[in-house]
Amino acid sequence: MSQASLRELASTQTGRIVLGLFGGVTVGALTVIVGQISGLLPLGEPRTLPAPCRPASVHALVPGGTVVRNDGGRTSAECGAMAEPPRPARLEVMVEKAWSSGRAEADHRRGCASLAGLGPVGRPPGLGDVACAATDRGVLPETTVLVRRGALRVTVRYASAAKDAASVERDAVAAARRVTASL
Amino acid sequence: MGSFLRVGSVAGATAVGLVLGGGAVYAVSGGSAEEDDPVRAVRSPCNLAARELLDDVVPDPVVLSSSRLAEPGSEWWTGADCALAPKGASERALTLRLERVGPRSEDVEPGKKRKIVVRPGTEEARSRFDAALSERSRPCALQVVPGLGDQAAACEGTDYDDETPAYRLLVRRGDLLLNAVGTGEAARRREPLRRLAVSVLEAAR
Repeated sequence: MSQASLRELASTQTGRIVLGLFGGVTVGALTVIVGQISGLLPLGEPRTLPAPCRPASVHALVPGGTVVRNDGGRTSAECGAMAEPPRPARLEVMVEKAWSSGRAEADHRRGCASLAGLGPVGRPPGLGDVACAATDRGVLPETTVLVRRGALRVTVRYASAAKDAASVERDAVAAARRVTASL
Repeated sequence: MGSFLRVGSVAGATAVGLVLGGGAVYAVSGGSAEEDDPVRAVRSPCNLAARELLDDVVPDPVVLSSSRLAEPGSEWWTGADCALAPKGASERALTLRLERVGPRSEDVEPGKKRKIVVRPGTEEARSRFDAALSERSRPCALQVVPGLGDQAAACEGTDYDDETPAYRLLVRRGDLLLNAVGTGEAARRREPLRRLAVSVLEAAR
């Protein structure tokens, strides 16, 4: 559209309304896109996600281990730590903010369905209705806990060869509870 | 009064536009697209390996490291790997990587009218196996081994240091692929390694 026809359109009342409407659509769409990319949307969720290693008590769970990652951010946060033998252990915590809680809910459901490959999927205590967990038993017991809260999804995966499966599961669920509470 | 109405109607149209535009983008981004069924996670191959079979390959094994290869439900494939060493040693003797390939929808005639076909996981796993056969990666080029799982291939070469012998074995069973690399002493224990690989795939189903 040329500048002249824009000016002509703006000279009539109906034209101004049409321009206002289309301008509004453009600005509204851009605002939502920018809001989601920057993590300011969805409203009501924390604007920045703290680095999750400290709330997860990484040093208690992976004694003598190395923290590989500990990053916070606007749309995701991550913690990773591992220890080598004689006491091999590994902790991974991921926090992700989805574009809407519907999206987060769908991803959470997929994750829980996928966990069925590891063992019986249970509902870990103290994390509400929207959490699931499964434990891979053996020489290296490993528990994966998935939690959804609003548009946020928390994944905690903890493995330790120095503990039995029940202790690994209990510690992983406790870490997930602390991380979720810190958000 | 007249000018108030004029300004008000433009402002009202802008407000309606803001809501429409923002709402449309929000609905599109939040709406769940058609997705394939989530692929079932696989257990760690170290946990699937029977201890007595493992002992034949790596005596008194200790887990050196392990990892998950894809987040649950987020990809169309998933996997887990782990490395083992004999107790007291720090050099890995056996690396196991287990992958499950899930069904995947693909557009069979790109550019034309959309025609989506779901390829089952087994088919995808077969093409991954065939791709591995033609690749020239370390430690060596795979040759077909008959009679193991649904498809198997193996080769012997050297590890990254170009000195330590390494034996690489790839076995497919259904939608599962197991990659096993024995290094050092374990590279010579081929038969026990094959038995171990088959039993891991049996247990993973």
